[in-house]
Amino acid sequence: MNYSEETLMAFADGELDAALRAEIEAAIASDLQLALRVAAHKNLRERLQRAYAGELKSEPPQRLLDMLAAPSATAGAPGVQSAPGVPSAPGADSNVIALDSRRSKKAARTGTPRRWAALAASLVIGVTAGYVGFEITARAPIAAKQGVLVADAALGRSLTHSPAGEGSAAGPKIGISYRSKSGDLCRSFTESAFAGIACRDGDDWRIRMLTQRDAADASQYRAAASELPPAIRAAIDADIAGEPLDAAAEREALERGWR
Amino acid sequence: MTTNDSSAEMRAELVALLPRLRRFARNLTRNPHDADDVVQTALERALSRSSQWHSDARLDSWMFKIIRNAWIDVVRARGRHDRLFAPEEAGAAVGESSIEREADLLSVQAAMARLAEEQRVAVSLVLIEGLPYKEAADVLDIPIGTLTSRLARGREALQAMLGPEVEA
Repeated sequence: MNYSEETLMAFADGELDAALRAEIEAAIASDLQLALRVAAHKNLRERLQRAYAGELKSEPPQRLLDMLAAPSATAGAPGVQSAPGVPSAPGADSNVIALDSRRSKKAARTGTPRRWAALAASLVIGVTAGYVGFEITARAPIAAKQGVLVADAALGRSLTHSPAGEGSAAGPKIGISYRSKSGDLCRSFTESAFAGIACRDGDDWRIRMLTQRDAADASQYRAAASELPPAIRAAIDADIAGEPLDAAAEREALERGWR
Repeated sequence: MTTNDSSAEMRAELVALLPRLRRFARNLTRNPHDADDVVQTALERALSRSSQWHSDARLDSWMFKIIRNAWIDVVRARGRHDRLFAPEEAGAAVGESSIEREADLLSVQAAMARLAEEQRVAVSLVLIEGLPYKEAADVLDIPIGTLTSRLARGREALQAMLGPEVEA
């Protein structure tokens, strides 16, 4: 059988319809020359991909990252800073920093200092764009780990071990537990002046969103889900797959260590 | 709200795509500085037209097309400039010596750089960036038959320059 090079190329690229594909598969089985020609096409593709895979690791220049990190000119309420991928909360009026969309997680995981610097820079840009000062202080219950913001040790312990609504009086309190659309297990939390969402990632809890509660809010705040800051509620609404975990599902997740 | 959502979603997708956009632009322009300039122009255009993108469409194809059009603009502008100011320099890099080709098999990148532009771009979109033929043809505004013929010729030329792969 005589197939054109273009046909064999399309076969190697998976572009043929099922009938022709089956025909060529059958022909390959009994025709070594045909098999070699197809293999050459596949091999060239793999060779190109290998040769160019390294380019994906080169760090994008800051000017390009800045273009994508800067809040959009059409962004909503001042004081709301939303990183890419997490919808701005409608009408949210607190200082909110949304972090670590599912897609940027991949990028962040390849963790280089410059990526971390870019994330930090976008935080600072967001902060200064807000009309209320938002200080990232040592008191925020977060830590940086390989370029990703994660819950610090105390908050991490609460997220891993505390049922919703519990937590020591002074320490973190857990609000809602849910599974996100990207399949992560996430929990909302409040801790002194902060409220946020963290999602399980291996042994860590990635901070997906962090917001500063104002003093009045914080003093009257209780851990009930209905009292979560509006921005957090909106983010959960946008992110949740189905319903929040009920008590039984949460207990099971606690026992499994949120794996 | 809807606008903000789609814009924020697009920014996130673009951050994730950025390495591929830069890689495609480098294969397109064969110059890393030009590549990043073109990506920057394309990002500006994309962000200003974010409402034209629907999240069910492939953002990578859309961006590759914007990048390619931005590059065409640059080349045209330079063409005018070169005609005015540097008429004798054009063509200096055109043509490759067959002696050189025989002397030494080329690296994959060097071989790619020697492909005719239309073949290089087709190879880049399909074999490196992994677009289906249909998407690649749409990016280039050409019929799918033209795309496959450019791809076939590009492959053939690459095979000739590269020779069989030597197992390390």
